[in-house]
Amino acid sequence: MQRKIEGDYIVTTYPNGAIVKELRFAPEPAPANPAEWLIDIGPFFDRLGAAKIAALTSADAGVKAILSDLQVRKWIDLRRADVATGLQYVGSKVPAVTPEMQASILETPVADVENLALRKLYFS
Amino acid sequence: MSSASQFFGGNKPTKIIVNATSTNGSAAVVSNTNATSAAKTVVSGELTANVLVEVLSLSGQGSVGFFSCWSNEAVARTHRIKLTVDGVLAFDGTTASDANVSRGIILVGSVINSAPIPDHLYFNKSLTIEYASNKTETGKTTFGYMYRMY
Repeated sequence: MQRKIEGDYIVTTYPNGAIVKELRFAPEPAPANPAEWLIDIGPFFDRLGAAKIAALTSADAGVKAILSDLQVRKWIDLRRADVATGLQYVGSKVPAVTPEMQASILETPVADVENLALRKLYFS
Repeated sequence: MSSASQFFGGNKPTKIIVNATSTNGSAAVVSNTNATSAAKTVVSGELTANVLVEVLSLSGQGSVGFFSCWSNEAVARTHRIKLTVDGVLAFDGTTASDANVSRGIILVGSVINSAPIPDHLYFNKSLTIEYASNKTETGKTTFGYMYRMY
Protein backbone atom coordinates (compact mmCIF):
# COMPACT_ATOMS: atom_id res chain seq x y z
CA MET A 1 0.00 0.00 0.00
CA GLN A 2 1.34 3.41 -0.96
CA ARG A 3 0.17 6.68 0.51
CA LYS A 4 1.07 10.17 -0.56
CA ILE A 5 -0.20 13.63 0.16
CA GLU A 6 -1.42 15.70 -2.76
CA GLY A 7 -2.55 19.12 -1.57
CA ASP A 8 -5.71 18.69 0.51
CA TYR A 9 -5.80 14.94 -0.15
CA ILE A 10 -4.23 11.65 0.82
CA VAL A 11 -3.97 9.30 -2.12
CA THR A 12 -3.69 5.62 -1.27
CA THR A 13 -2.80 2.98 -3.81
CA TYR A 14 -3.64 -0.59 -2.76
CA PRO A 15 -1.94 -3.78 -3.98
CA ASN A 16 -5.08 -4.78 -5.92
CA GLY A 17 -4.77 -1.61 -7.97
CA ALA A 18 -7.50 0.31 -6.19
CA ILE A 19 -6.76 4.02 -5.78
CA VAL A 20 -8.47 6.08 -3.11
CA LYS A 21 -8.32 9.84 -2.87
CA GLU A 22 -9.76 11.42 0.26
CA LEU A 23 -9.55 14.65 2.22
CA ARG A 24 -6.82 14.60 4.85
CA PHE A 25 -8.25 16.95 7.48
CA ALA A 26 -9.25 15.22 10.70
CA PRO A 27 -12.07 16.75 12.74
CA GLU A 28 -11.13 18.46 15.97
CA PRO A 29 -12.22 16.64 19.11
CA ALA A 30 -15.40 18.00 20.58
CA PRO A 31 -14.54 20.60 23.24
CA ALA A 32 -15.28 19.68 26.83
CA ASN A 33 -18.48 21.19 28.12
CA PRO A 34 -17.49 23.52 30.98
CA ALA A 35 -21.10 23.66 32.18
CA GLU A 36 -21.61 19.90 32.19
CA TRP A 37 -22.28 19.68 35.95
CA LEU A 38 -23.45 23.24 36.54
CA ILE A 39 -27.15 23.69 37.18
CA ASP A 40 -29.33 26.78 37.44
CA ILE A 41 -30.74 27.57 40.88
CA GLY A 42 -34.41 26.91 40.07
CA PRO A 43 -33.85 23.54 38.42
CA PHE A 44 -31.65 22.51 41.34
CA PHE A 45 -34.52 23.11 43.76
CA ASP A 46 -36.88 21.40 41.33
CA ARG A 47 -34.77 18.27 41.77
CA LEU A 48 -36.00 18.16 45.36
CA GLY A 49 -39.41 17.32 43.95
CA ALA A 50 -42.09 16.89 46.57
CA ALA A 51 -39.51 17.59 49.30
CA LYS A 52 -38.84 21.10 47.99
CA ILE A 53 -41.37 22.95 50.12
CA ALA A 54 -40.44 20.95 53.22
CA ALA A 55 -36.81 21.96 52.77
CA LEU A 56 -37.59 25.60 52.03
CA THR A 57 -39.85 25.91 55.07
CA SER A 58 -37.51 24.14 57.45
CA ALA A 59 -37.09 25.96 60.74
CA ASP A 60 -33.58 24.61 61.21
CA ALA A 61 -31.01 27.41 61.13
CA GLY A 62 -28.44 25.25 59.36
CA VAL A 63 -30.85 24.29 56.59
CA LYS A 64 -31.86 27.93 56.19
CA ALA A 65 -28.24 29.00 55.92
CA ILE A 66 -27.38 26.34 53.33
CA LEU A 67 -30.40 27.09 51.16
CA SER A 68 -29.81 30.83 51.42
CA ASP A 69 -26.19 30.32 50.43
CA LEU A 70 -27.25 28.31 47.39
CA GLN A 71 -29.70 30.99 46.29
CA VAL A 72 -27.13 33.79 46.13
CA ARG A 73 -24.97 31.83 43.68
CA LYS A 74 -25.03 32.25 39.90
CA TRP A 75 -25.24 28.48 39.57
CA ILE A 76 -24.67 25.31 41.58
CA ASP A 77 -21.76 23.04 40.75
CA LEU A 78 -22.96 19.50 41.46
CA ARG A 79 -19.36 18.29 41.65
CA ARG A 80 -18.41 20.51 44.61
CA ALA A 81 -17.93 18.66 47.88
CA ASP A 82 -19.62 21.38 49.92
CA VAL A 83 -22.78 21.00 47.85
CA ALA A 84 -22.86 17.29 48.70
CA THR A 85 -22.22 17.87 52.42
CA GLY A 86 -24.78 20.68 52.48
CA LEU A 87 -27.35 18.39 50.90
CA GLN A 88 -26.50 15.69 53.44
CA TYR A 89 -27.13 18.16 56.24
CA VAL A 90 -30.48 19.15 54.72
CA GLY A 91 -31.35 15.47 54.54
CA SER A 92 -30.51 15.03 58.22
CA LYS A 93 -33.07 17.69 59.15
CA VAL A 94 -35.66 17.17 56.41
CA PRO A 95 -36.37 13.42 56.18
CA ALA A 96 -38.08 13.79 52.81
CA VAL A 97 -34.66 14.58 51.33
CA THR A 98 -33.58 10.96 51.41
CA PRO A 99 -30.07 9.66 50.66
CA GLU A 100 -31.43 8.24 47.40
CA MET A 101 -32.80 11.64 46.45
CA GLN A 102 -29.49 13.28 47.35
CA ALA A 103 -27.61 10.84 45.12
CA SER A 104 -30.07 11.39 42.31
CA ILE A 105 -29.75 15.18 42.61
CA LEU A 106 -25.96 15.03 42.50
CA GLU A 107 -25.45 12.26 39.94
CA THR A 108 -28.12 12.87 37.34
CA PRO A 109 -26.49 14.60 34.36
CA VAL A 110 -27.66 18.16 33.91
CA ALA A 111 -30.12 18.45 31.04
CA ASP A 112 -29.89 21.38 28.64
CA VAL A 113 -33.04 22.93 30.05
CA GLU A 114 -31.58 22.81 33.56
CA ASN A 115 -28.72 25.19 32.84
CA LEU A 116 -30.12 27.20 29.99
CA ALA A 117 -29.82 30.49 31.90
CA LEU A 118 -26.23 30.12 33.00
CA ARG A 119 -25.07 28.95 29.58
CA LYS A 120 -26.80 31.88 27.92
CA LEU A 121 -25.54 34.45 30.41
CA TYR A 122 -22.03 33.22 31.15
CA PHE A 123 -20.89 30.57 28.68
CA SER A 124 -22.15 31.72 25.29
CA MET B 1 -18.41 -19.29 -13.16
CA SER B 2 -20.73 -17.12 -11.20
CA SER B 3 -19.60 -14.03 -9.41
CA ALA B 4 -21.14 -12.73 -6.22
CA SER B 5 -21.28 -9.30 -7.76
CA GLN B 6 -24.03 -10.35 -10.16
CA PHE B 7 -26.32 -10.97 -7.18
CA PHE B 8 -25.80 -7.71 -5.32
CA GLY B 9 -25.86 -5.57 -8.39
CA GLY B 10 -22.17 -4.95 -8.79
CA ASN B 11 -22.55 -5.19 -12.55
CA LYS B 12 -25.31 -2.63 -12.46
CA PRO B 13 -23.92 0.54 -10.98
CA THR B 14 -26.37 2.85 -9.29
CA LYS B 15 -27.74 5.44 -11.67
CA ILE B 16 -30.32 7.21 -9.56
CA ILE B 17 -30.59 7.87 -5.84
CA VAL B 18 -33.78 9.23 -4.38
CA ASN B 19 -33.76 10.41 -0.77
CA ALA B 20 -34.69 13.34 1.47
CA THR B 21 -32.39 15.68 -0.39
CA SER B 22 -32.69 14.41 -3.94
CA THR B 23 -35.13 17.21 -4.70
CA ASN B 24 -33.16 20.42 -4.63
CA GLY B 25 -34.16 22.78 -1.87
CA SER B 26 -35.75 20.15 0.30
CA ALA B 27 -35.35 20.53 4.01
CA ALA B 28 -32.00 19.49 5.37
CA VAL B 29 -32.16 16.19 7.17
CA VAL B 30 -30.85 15.66 10.66
CA SER B 31 -27.53 13.96 10.23
CA ASN B 32 -26.91 13.64 13.94
CA THR B 33 -23.65 11.92 13.26
CA ASN B 34 -21.48 13.69 15.80
CA ALA B 35 -20.65 10.40 17.42
CA THR B 36 -20.44 8.14 14.39
CA SER B 37 -18.64 5.25 15.98
CA ALA B 38 -17.90 3.30 12.85
CA ALA B 39 -17.59 5.96 10.20
CA LYS B 40 -14.37 7.63 9.21
CA THR B 41 -14.68 11.39 9.55
CA VAL B 42 -12.84 14.18 7.78
CA VAL B 43 -13.55 17.88 7.53
CA SER B 44 -13.69 20.08 4.48
CA GLY B 45 -10.67 22.05 3.38
CA GLU B 46 -10.85 25.49 1.82
CA LEU B 47 -14.13 25.93 0.02
CA THR B 48 -15.23 28.64 -2.38
CA ALA B 49 -18.95 29.34 -2.30
CA ASN B 50 -20.90 27.06 -4.65
CA VAL B 51 -17.77 25.49 -6.13
CA LEU B 52 -17.66 21.69 -5.96
CA VAL B 53 -14.58 19.98 -4.54
CA GLU B 54 -13.83 16.28 -4.43
CA VAL B 55 -14.35 14.66 -1.05
CA LEU B 56 -13.88 11.02 -1.97
CA SER B 57 -12.64 9.48 -5.17
CA LEU B 58 -12.44 5.68 -5.45
CA SER B 59 -10.96 3.92 -8.46
CA GLY B 60 -11.45 0.18 -8.83
CA GLN B 61 -14.36 -2.03 -7.74
CA GLY B 62 -16.00 -1.53 -4.37
CA SER B 63 -18.93 -0.23 -2.42
CA VAL B 64 -19.76 2.70 -0.18
CA GLY B 65 -21.64 1.66 2.94
CA PHE B 66 -22.30 5.06 4.40
CA PHE B 67 -21.79 8.66 3.43
CA SER B 68 -23.09 11.83 5.01
CA CYS B 69 -22.13 15.43 5.56
CA TRP B 70 -23.13 17.86 8.28
CA SER B 71 -22.42 21.37 9.58
CA ASN B 72 -19.95 21.93 12.39
CA GLU B 73 -21.30 25.33 13.38
CA ALA B 74 -24.64 27.05 13.68
CA VAL B 75 -24.33 29.26 10.60
CA ALA B 76 -26.83 29.16 7.76
CA ARG B 77 -25.52 27.31 4.72
CA THR B 78 -26.69 24.94 2.02
CA HIS B 79 -25.09 21.57 1.40
CA ARG B 80 -24.71 20.14 -2.07
CA ILE B 81 -23.48 16.66 -2.89
CA LYS B 82 -22.80 15.33 -6.36
CA LEU B 83 -22.26 11.61 -6.78
CA THR B 84 -20.88 9.99 -9.90
CA VAL B 85 -20.87 6.19 -10.14
CA ASP B 86 -18.89 4.56 -12.94
CA GLY B 87 -18.96 7.80 -14.84
CA VAL B 88 -22.72 8.25 -14.51
CA LEU B 89 -24.22 11.09 -12.49
CA ALA B 90 -26.35 9.36 -9.85
CA PHE B 91 -27.15 12.18 -7.45
CA ASP B 92 -26.91 15.94 -7.37
CA GLY B 93 -28.89 17.43 -4.51
CA THR B 94 -28.77 20.64 -2.51
CA THR B 95 -30.43 21.21 0.82
CA ALA B 96 -32.37 24.26 1.80
CA SER B 97 -30.35 26.73 3.85
CA ASP B 98 -30.08 25.54 7.41
CA ALA B 99 -28.42 27.13 10.45
CA ASN B 100 -28.31 24.11 12.73
CA VAL B 101 -25.29 22.09 13.74
CA SER B 102 -25.32 18.42 12.72
CA ARG B 103 -27.64 18.85 9.79
CA GLY B 104 -26.80 18.08 6.21
CA ILE B 105 -27.26 15.17 3.86
CA ILE B 106 -27.25 11.42 4.37
CA LEU B 107 -26.37 10.13 0.92
CA VAL B 108 -25.83 6.43 1.62
CA GLY B 109 -27.13 4.48 4.61
CA SER B 110 -28.98 5.96 7.54
CA VAL B 111 -28.38 7.03 11.14
CA ILE B 112 -29.98 5.72 14.30
CA ASN B 113 -28.93 7.12 17.65
CA SER B 114 -25.81 8.67 16.14
CA ALA B 115 -24.69 5.31 14.74
CA PRO B 116 -24.40 4.82 10.98
CA ILE B 117 -26.49 2.04 9.51
CA PRO B 118 -24.80 1.01 6.28
CA ASP B 119 -26.38 0.35 2.96
CA HIS B 120 -24.20 -0.70 0.04
CA LEU B 121 -23.77 1.36 -3.05
CA TYR B 122 -21.69 -0.66 -5.48
CA PHE B 123 -19.46 0.49 -8.29
CA ASN B 124 -17.37 -1.38 -10.82
CA LYS B 125 -14.82 1.18 -11.93
CA SER B 126 -15.06 4.42 -10.03
CA LEU B 127 -17.04 6.48 -7.61
CA THR B 128 -16.63 10.18 -6.96
CA ILE B 129 -18.34 12.34 -4.36
CA GLU B 130 -18.10 16.10 -4.62
CA TYR B 131 -19.33 18.73 -2.17
CA ALA B 132 -20.11 22.42 -2.13
CA SER B 133 -21.69 24.79 0.36
CA ASN B 134 -22.91 28.26 -0.49
CA LYS B 135 -20.24 29.88 1.68
CA THR B 136 -16.53 30.52 1.22
CA GLU B 137 -15.11 28.87 4.32
CA THR B 138 -12.67 26.32 5.72
CA GLY B 139 -13.38 23.28 7.86
CA LYS B 140 -17.07 23.94 8.58
CA THR B 141 -18.45 20.70 7.19
CA THR B 142 -17.69 17.18 8.39
CA PHE B 143 -18.01 14.10 6.21
CA GLY B 144 -18.59 10.63 7.64
CA TYR B 145 -18.16 7.57 5.47
CA MET B 146 -17.37 3.90 5.16
CA TYR B 147 -16.33 2.12 1.99
CA ARG B 148 -14.89 -1.17 0.77
CA MET B 149 -12.63 -1.90 -2.17
CA TYR B 150 -12.73 -5.36 -3.75
